[in-house]
Amino acid sequence: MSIPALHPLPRPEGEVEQLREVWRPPGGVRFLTVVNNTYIGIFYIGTALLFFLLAGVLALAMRTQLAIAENDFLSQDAYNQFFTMHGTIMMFLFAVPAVEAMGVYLLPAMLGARDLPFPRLSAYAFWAYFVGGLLFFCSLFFDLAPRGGWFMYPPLTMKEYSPGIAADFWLLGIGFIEISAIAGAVEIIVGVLRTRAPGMSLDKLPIYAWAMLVFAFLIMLAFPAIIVGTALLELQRAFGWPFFDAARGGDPLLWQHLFWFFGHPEVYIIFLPAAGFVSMILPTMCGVPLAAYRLVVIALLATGFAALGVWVHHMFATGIPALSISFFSAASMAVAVPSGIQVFAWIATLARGRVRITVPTLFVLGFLFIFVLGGLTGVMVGLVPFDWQVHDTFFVVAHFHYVLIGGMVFPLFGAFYYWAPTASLRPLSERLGRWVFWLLFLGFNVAFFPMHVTGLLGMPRRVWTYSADMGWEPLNLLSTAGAYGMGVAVAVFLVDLARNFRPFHDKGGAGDVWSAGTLEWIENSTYGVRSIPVVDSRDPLWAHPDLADCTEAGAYFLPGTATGTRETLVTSPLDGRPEYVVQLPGPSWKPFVAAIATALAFYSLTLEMVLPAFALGALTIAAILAWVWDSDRGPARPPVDVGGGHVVPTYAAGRLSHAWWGVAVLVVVVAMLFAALFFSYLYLRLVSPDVWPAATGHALPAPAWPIATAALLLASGAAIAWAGRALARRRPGRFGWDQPALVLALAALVGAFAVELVGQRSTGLVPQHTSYAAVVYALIGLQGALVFALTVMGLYTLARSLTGRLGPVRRVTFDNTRLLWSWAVVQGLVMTALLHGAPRILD
Amino acid sequence: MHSAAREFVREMLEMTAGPLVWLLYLLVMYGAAAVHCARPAADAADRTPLLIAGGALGAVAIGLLAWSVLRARRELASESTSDARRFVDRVAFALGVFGIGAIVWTALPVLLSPACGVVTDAAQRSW
Repeated sequence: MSIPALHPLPRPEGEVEQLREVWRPPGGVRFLTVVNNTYIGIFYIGTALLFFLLAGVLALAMRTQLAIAENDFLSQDAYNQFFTMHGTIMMFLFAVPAVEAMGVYLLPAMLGARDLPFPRLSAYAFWAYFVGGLLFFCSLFFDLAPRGGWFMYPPLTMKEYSPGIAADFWLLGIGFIEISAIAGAVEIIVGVLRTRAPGMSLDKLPIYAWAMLVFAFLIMLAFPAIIVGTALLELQRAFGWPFFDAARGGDPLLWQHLFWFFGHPEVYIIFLPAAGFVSMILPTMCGVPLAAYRLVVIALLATGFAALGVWVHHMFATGIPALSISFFSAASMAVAVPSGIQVFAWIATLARGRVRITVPTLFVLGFLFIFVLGGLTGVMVGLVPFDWQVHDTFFVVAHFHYVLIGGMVFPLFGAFYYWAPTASLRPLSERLGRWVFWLLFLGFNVAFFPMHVTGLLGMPRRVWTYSADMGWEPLNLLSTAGAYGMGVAVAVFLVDLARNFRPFHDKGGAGDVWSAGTLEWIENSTYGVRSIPVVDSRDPLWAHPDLADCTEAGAYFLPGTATGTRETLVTSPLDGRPEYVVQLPGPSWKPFVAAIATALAFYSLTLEMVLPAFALGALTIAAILAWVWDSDRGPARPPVDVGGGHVVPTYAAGRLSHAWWGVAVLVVVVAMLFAALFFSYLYLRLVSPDVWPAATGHALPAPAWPIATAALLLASGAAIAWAGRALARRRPGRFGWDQPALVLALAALVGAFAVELVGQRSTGLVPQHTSYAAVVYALIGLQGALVFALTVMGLYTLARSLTGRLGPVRRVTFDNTRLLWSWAVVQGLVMTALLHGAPRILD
Repeated sequence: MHSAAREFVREMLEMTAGPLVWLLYLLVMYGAAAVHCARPAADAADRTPLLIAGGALGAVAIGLLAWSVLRARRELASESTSDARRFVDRVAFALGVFGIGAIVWTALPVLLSPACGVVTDAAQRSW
């Protein structure tokens, strides 16, 4: 049965041509300014693959070094740089960006949207990652690559033991690339929740979109911890603030907590999207819907939460009390339950359908085999006594490569082969693909299975060579041979890409070569689908075989461009009801310039070029402000008919607006940054009470200081609320009280920050002296960064108001600023209570 | 808050209450154990405060989730809700049950493991 057309067919002549014209990418050098997901997604995937190749070459060099005992192919120092860069690049520059890139590319088509809700943010995130990542890699050529391993533990990475700027490259480079990942997560959360096809309620959401939603929430909650960690370690290295220096009340374990609060969820951040690939590929290849859809959603959500509660299992060998590690051992083993649910759902899908053994199927089967083995060794190392036995040995190296390559790389290759026809005029080759699979599968197992044994025989990870009489040589030689097999597999894949991958075509791709059931297989051009279909099933193309043709004929929502600009439909988050049409921004140099300037600003800081760094920072802010200046266009057009008599507005402000949802996600990120510092304060108090004021006799600021801070914060909150009410009452062309109220709010917010800072300084507190002083100033510094951002946003809002771009209806800029402002007030109050209350109450 | 946005946030919190409450329980118990073990060795050796805290907090957490599970079941029994809401209630029900099981499982170490001290061979022999 068909879904009835929403309007008469055929559609008027010229409609699709207008749509194509509006979405046409710029030519020549301006092609660099494209912002829509079909281009940025592929740039992103290509760049992630480039980093995969670069880190893979480093791996082959390391395996060559280890192939025989006492080899001198690499020096010890080069080996240290290689393993640090291999792990760092694979985790930060390949794995997370690759799965995020696939989301950027696939999600709009899968959800029936024309693009993600913030296309310029995607472009910014991509270019920042591209330039920042390449600069980071180039540090290797100047002997400036870090040597501290991908988790960069202090004290090894403290200035005393890692002099020079190599570690700073890691800290500033990676901290900055995380910001790019967070930008992508904002896109994905708002995209999945607000830009779905009408009728695509949560129970009909493609399982991949569920996986990406959990993925993006995990980035939002976990990545701030590593940003705080890298900031603290950089503050220690650059200015001597002793967060991790035990002699001055710091603790190296604080780094491990912050790192692994990010680092463990990172594993699921990589794995869950890959599980999403598998849950999409298998039903197509079996010709049946995914078994136990609801249970798989439950498993994804449970895994997401569990991911946040197991970080201490990376720290079993650090001397943490027995009960504490037992909690995390129990929690780690509990993760097997939701993971098992997914595995059984895949097995059930295989059992129910008629399996087509294609290249994507092979990669999924390879994934199941390898990932289950990696999962089992995961349960083994979740047991504390076993973990101690194999800690820091090659057994662990084998375990996490089984999890990461099995759990992510195999599904990713499967996904490349599966979805390539949506982007390329030709599918990838089945014949070459089978070579890639078998070489990779056999190469992988030959390389990594022996490492379990090498580890049990006692070979530690990260040694650059070993003595012949240890008996490790045959196994290492075997591992090296397997690694080269994997290298050949990747080379064959590149040949396949070169021969067959033909993206960026007006027609989209080769089409639905697998007879799949989800929306991304409808013919997809630069503008996405011709019309946005109505969805009433989880596999809409199977439920309605003519849906693709009807969609292509323009039978459903937005068959042309209703506003004459790039646009997509915003729907309600739970049940996918059309709410409004959002006008999307098009190509621009501004996000490109902002991204390049951001990357260069961070690297200038690394090279201690302070003035250029500030200049580039200012350029970044200017480019971002210029880019958003014309984003809030206001309700310039009347409501439009999007199809079938559905008339919806072309503008929304306040909590209905997708932009407000984006800022709400950002507020959670800021709250998590604060939570990480809040935890650091309490942790340092717990481990080093002897540097807290009660023990050192250092005077706290008199109560008048925090009272003044709190009063100013409350005044700022009241003034911003007043500004909001005044804006709602303002008449066009008339004076409004919102402007003075905004100035007052800003003055009070800056004043509160200044009072807190001066109050602490007035007691003679110096951040270099103790971890207490350092963490106090770090908290104030975070508040200061937020106040700086709000100063820019406040002045920007004021500028829009003064130029007539802000009013009672056209108020997205104000609403977004107020949301972050409200959080700044709350954060300031909690911080004041902590800094002045905790030393008085706890001591 | 725009009513639909508020409604959605409430639905999502109800849907994920199971693992959310479990995660909070784990974090609070981890913090409690850390604070307890930072006390002088003689005080820290006594597990009673942790047993009381773990039991009381566990009871509150399980009570909350039991309420959430029953609420979801009641919602499912009413026939007026949409497919999307029924889906959310079914997920809430299952995750609530999962959360209760996870809390019991995670709390077991309070009964079975020594409270403090780094585990060594000697300590293991003395258990």
